[in-house]
Amino acid sequence: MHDTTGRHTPRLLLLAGAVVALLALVPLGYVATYVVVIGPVDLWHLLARPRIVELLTNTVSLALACMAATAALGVALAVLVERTDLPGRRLWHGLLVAPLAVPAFVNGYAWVSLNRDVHGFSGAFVVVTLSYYPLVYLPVVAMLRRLDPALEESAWSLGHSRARTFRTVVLPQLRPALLGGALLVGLHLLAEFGALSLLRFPTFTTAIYDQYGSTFNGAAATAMAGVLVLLCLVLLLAELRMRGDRRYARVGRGAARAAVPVALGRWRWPLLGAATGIVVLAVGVPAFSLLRWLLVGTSTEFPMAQLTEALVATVTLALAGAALTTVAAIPVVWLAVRHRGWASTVIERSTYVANALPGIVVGLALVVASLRLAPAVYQTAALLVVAYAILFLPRAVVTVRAGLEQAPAVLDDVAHGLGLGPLATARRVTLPLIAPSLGAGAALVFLAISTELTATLMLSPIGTRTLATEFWSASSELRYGAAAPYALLLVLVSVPATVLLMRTDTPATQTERVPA
Amino acid sequence: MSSLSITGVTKSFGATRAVDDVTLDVPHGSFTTVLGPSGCGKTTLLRLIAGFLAPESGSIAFGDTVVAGDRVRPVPPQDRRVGYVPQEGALFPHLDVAANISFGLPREARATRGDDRVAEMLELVELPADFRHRRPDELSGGQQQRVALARSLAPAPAVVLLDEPFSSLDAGLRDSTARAVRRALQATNTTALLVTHDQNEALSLADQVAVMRGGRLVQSASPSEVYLSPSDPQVAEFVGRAVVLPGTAHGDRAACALGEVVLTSPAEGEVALMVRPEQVFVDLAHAEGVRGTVQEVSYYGHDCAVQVRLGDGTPVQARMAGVRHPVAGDTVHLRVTGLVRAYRPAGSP
Repeated sequence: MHDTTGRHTPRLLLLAGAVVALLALVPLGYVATYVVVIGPVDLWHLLARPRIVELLTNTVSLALACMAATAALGVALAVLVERTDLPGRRLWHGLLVAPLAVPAFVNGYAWVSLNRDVHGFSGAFVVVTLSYYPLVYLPVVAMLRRLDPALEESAWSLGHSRARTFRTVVLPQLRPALLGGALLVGLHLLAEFGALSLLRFPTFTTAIYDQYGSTFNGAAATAMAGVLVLLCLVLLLAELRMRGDRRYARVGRGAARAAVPVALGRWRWPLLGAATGIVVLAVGVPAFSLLRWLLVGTSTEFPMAQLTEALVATVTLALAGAALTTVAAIPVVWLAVRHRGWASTVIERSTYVANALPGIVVGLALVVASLRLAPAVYQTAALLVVAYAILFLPRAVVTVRAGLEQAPAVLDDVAHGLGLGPLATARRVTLPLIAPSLGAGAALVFLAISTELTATLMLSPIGTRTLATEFWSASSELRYGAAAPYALLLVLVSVPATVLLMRTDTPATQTERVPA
Repeated sequence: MSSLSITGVTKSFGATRAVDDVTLDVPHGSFTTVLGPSGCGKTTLLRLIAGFLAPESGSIAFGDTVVAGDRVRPVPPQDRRVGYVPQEGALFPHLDVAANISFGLPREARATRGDDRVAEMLELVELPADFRHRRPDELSGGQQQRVALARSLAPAPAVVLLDEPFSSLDAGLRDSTARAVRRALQATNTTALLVTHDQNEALSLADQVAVMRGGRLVQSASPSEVYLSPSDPQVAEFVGRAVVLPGTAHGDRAACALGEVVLTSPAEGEVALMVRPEQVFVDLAHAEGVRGTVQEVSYYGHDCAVQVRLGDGTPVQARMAGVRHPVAGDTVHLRVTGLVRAYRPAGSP
């Protein structure tokens, strides 16, 4: 088989890529097969119920409200930090990204444990918006930094006011980042289980878990999973289209100089106050709540042995998951970068679908698939690690891909010309070049696994206690003090990933740099 | 070092013949440029020689060693001893200059003698010795190209192949880098093949110019021969500017819109005549020659290009020194100086 450049595609590589793609498609395949097997009549009976309508209303209304709120908040804060003379802009940037280091379910716990009245739609809306607005804020900041100020200067010189320039020139260019971020919020929200469960706001994801946990009613749970996957795929397709557009929006090689900041004048203090309010709610409340439960909570004992056990279990699972995910990403990326063609595209797209799969669906699919096809692996750590790989493969693929693109095939040609065979070339050229991105990809996956809750709850072997499951069993039984040490460790584990995300100069922009 | 012989080499991608029955000899220690528009197959030819692609038919030999050909198992690129210098240099970004240059040396040489060789190579490509510790992103485009050449020359390759190595450099840097590369190749007496679409580069660097078009090699000869006696009018128009006029030949003379011209070799009947713009003398003072009206003047300082429309509507380009030149609208008289090459007109057998 040959790719579009006429190079020979190694069969073993293609086989490895196909295996990874098939694995990534198991959850989707499970839901699709189920829907086909059960038939439209039974499916209708399962879904045409008041309860389902209520869940659909809840899920969709919360998703839309949060997407709108995070979009507005994200853009407003990004413009405030990037384009005005707000004092202490760097500090604000750090504080505004900080909520990413608090997993949404920990944030939900922090609020509900302070005040039991925070619940239902309004409670979920506030907590989720405060947890997820950085997903809009960060890409909009990155885009604002990339925009060429010359465009805005041209508009001014053509007689537009600063406000009108923002509306007619800047905002249209922010649109892809803004919409892409909002859609990502929607995807996260559809998958959110822990926060919404604690805040007692039922959506498809929490209902599937309850259904699965209480009655083990596979039929009803799977039918709801089908609806959930459909909602996710709609958002994923919309997000993919945004991604396509984003390329057009990237005009120059990045701004040569910063834009002139807008002087806030008498708005300075009110806006400073508003930003402080956001940070207090998004960072201050969880920090305060967590510390309070750590210090004064009556049920707080510091069970060092149990904490250590959970930490060791979490780190072990996360290491295994990160290793498997990164190794699985290599053939996918190699095919996509070095051997472009229809087969490579199909394989890469298959792994991308996992972006739309909530942990609950992956968990459910692997439970059923393992019981049907390979009962021996049910409730083993191996199955859980596979679930992690399916869930987080897209992150590893994106990171490793950026690395391999830094190691163009022409370097291999040069090395061959200098007398090196394929193995020596891999050892002395390709691997050293992609090693940092392999490491970064593995680190990202490691951190994501460490705070994963839903699939871990469904798939972890009996007796395996991780930070997330221990936190969950304590907080869902209202033992808030006991949950606090686990919550603290979960936050600490999330900090490095947040710092990585804060740096907006991605590998992609570094390759565009031209030596003087 | 060795000579390079390409005999009847063909390579297709799908239905397209990228390289079609190309035969070319590059003598030992000489410098050949392959000139052609983009998509003419010149880069494919280079990749065939390097061994990144295998020809469907024909053979490639370095000296007496056949590296690809009928009933010969193609020698893999790493065993061919070719130095390959791609566009923009493609230095290994994770290695410094010294490690890049010594990359192709054997392990023991990299450990011990590598330093001498690196210094020698840096001097050869006219870079300061303290560049050895720089990283590729601390070098300018021209310096990267020089290091890329040093890297390819360090293991003393049989042939050096350069793929449009100067096309990403700006005009001033391009010429000085090209000169330095030429000197380094001459100093080491290395057989070299350079692929380019830039005719100035092709003519000014090479001992031999090979012109490719549509996968075929249409002419290979010395730079002056390619320029003065192009094998057909299309080559003439690709290598430099050319005025191609229909004319009627009789013996060593021919009549055309520019009056009577003297031919390089005798011909009879309908011919296409190729006149270089610098052969068209623009007379501002006397009314001798063919009358025309100046349409446009492009002034370059050292010289200028003058577009003239003749009385019968034929457009002609002339090139003259910039000291005294006409302006648009002037009436001038044109004469052809020197010998003119005649071709059979297009469409005749």
